[in-house]
Amino acid sequence: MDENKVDITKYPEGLHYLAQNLMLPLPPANLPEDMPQEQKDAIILQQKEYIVNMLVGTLVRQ
Amino acid sequence: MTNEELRAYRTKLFRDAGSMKVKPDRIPNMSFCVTWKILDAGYKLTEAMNDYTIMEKVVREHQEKYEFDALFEHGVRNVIRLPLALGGLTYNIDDEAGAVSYVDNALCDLDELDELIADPNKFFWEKGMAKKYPMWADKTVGVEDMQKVIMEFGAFSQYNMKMLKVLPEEYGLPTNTAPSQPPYQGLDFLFNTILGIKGLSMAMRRCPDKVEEAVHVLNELYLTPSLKALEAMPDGPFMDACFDYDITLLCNSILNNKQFERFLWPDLKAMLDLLEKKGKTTRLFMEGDNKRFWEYFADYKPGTIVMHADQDDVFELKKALPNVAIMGGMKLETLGRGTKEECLSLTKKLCDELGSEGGYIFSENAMVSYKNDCNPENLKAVCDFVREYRP
Repeated sequence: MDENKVDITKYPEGLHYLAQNLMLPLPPANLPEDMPQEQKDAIILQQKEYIVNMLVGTLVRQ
Repeated sequence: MTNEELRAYRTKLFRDAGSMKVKPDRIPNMSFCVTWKILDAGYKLTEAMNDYTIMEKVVREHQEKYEFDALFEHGVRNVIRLPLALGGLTYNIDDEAGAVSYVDNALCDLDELDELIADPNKFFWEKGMAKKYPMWADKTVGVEDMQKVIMEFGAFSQYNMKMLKVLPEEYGLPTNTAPSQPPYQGLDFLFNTILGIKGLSMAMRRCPDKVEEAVHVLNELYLTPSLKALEAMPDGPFMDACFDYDITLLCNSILNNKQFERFLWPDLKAMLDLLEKKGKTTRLFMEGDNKRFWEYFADYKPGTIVMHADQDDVFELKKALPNVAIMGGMKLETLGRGTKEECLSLTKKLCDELGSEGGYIFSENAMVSYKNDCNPENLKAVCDFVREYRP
C-alpha cells in the first residue's frame, strides 16, 4: 500500500490518486488562456485519468 | 529509386492487390516473421526482448537480409518489459527451446462474470490486476511502482516511434495500417485474457446470455470508440499505408457456426459493413481453419477484405470467395523443412494461381515464431523469387 495509506488497488479511488500523483507524459493541453484555472485543472486531471486507465487496461491485456 | 520512391512503389503494390481493381506491377511480399527473426539474427529471445537496441538490430538485419515489401511486425508484439516492470510474468520464455508462450491465466471465473458485466473498468482494476500482478494482489504496490511502468511505456513508445521513422526513411518500407484505434473485439478479449480458452468454451455452454452481455459491455469499452473513429474518417483508402484497418481474431478457432453467429458475427459484420460503406480495405486474419465461416464474407464488395489465411487452403478459398483478396499461402512446414526447390515450386504456384490477375499478397500462412518454422536459405530464395517474378 502507498505511504499515504491510499489503497491504489481500489477503483475509482486508486485511479484518482494515481492520476494526481504520477508524472505522466501529457501533450500540451492548448486550453484557452481566459479559461478559469479550476476548469483547466479539471480538464487536465480528466486527461490524466484517461491515460492511467488506458495503462491499466494495457497491463491487464499484456 | 530513392527510399521515398520505393516506399510509395511498395505501398501501391499492396493497395493495387487489395483493391482487386488493378493488377500490381508485381506481387507484394509481407514478412509475417515474429520471434523467429530474433533467432535468425543469432540472439537469444530474452536478449532482444529485454533490450530495444538489440531488437532494432534484429529488425534491421531481417529487412537487409530478405528485402521484404513490408513487415507485419517490427519488434513490438511481445512487450515483456511492461508487465515485468510490475513484477508480472505474462510470457514464458524458453531460450533453450527458442520459444515464447503466453501464460493462459484467466482473469475471471465464471461466477465473477456478473461483476465484469456490471463494471468492467472496476473489475479490471481490482480483480484483473490482482490476478496478474502479485504486488497488486497483496496491496504492496505503490505510486513509485506505477511510475516504473510509465517509464517502461515511454521507452517502448520511443522504440516504436523510432522504428516507424527508420523503416520508411532508411528501407523504403510502408506503414502497415492507417492510423486507427485498434478494433479490439470483446469476444477475443474474453478468449485471450479474461476467461481463457477453457473458460470461454464452458461459459458459452453454461451461461450464453452472460457471454453475450460481457461481449456487449467490452465492445462498448473498446470496439464502439474504434467504430466511431472509423465513421469520422474521410471515405476512401488512406493511400499512405498498405491497409486501412487490421482485424486479427483468435477466438473464432473454438467457435462452431451457431456460436460464431451469436457471439462474434454481429460485431464483426458491423465493422466490415462500415469498412465497405467507407470504401476501406482491411486485412483480416482469423486463426485456424475457417472454411465453415467463408459464406459470411461472400457478399462484400471487392476491395473490402484482404483475407490472410492461416490453415485454410488458399486455392480453395480463392474459388469460394472471388470477391476477397488473398494473402498468405506460404506454408511453414515447407519453408522450415522443405527443400529450396519445394519452396520455390510452391511460391510459383501461389503467384501464378492467385496473383496472375492481381488480388494476391504473398506471405507466410502463420506467424513465423520458432527456429524450425523457417530455413533462412529457403526464405531468402523465396523472397528473391517473388521480387523478380511477374506472373
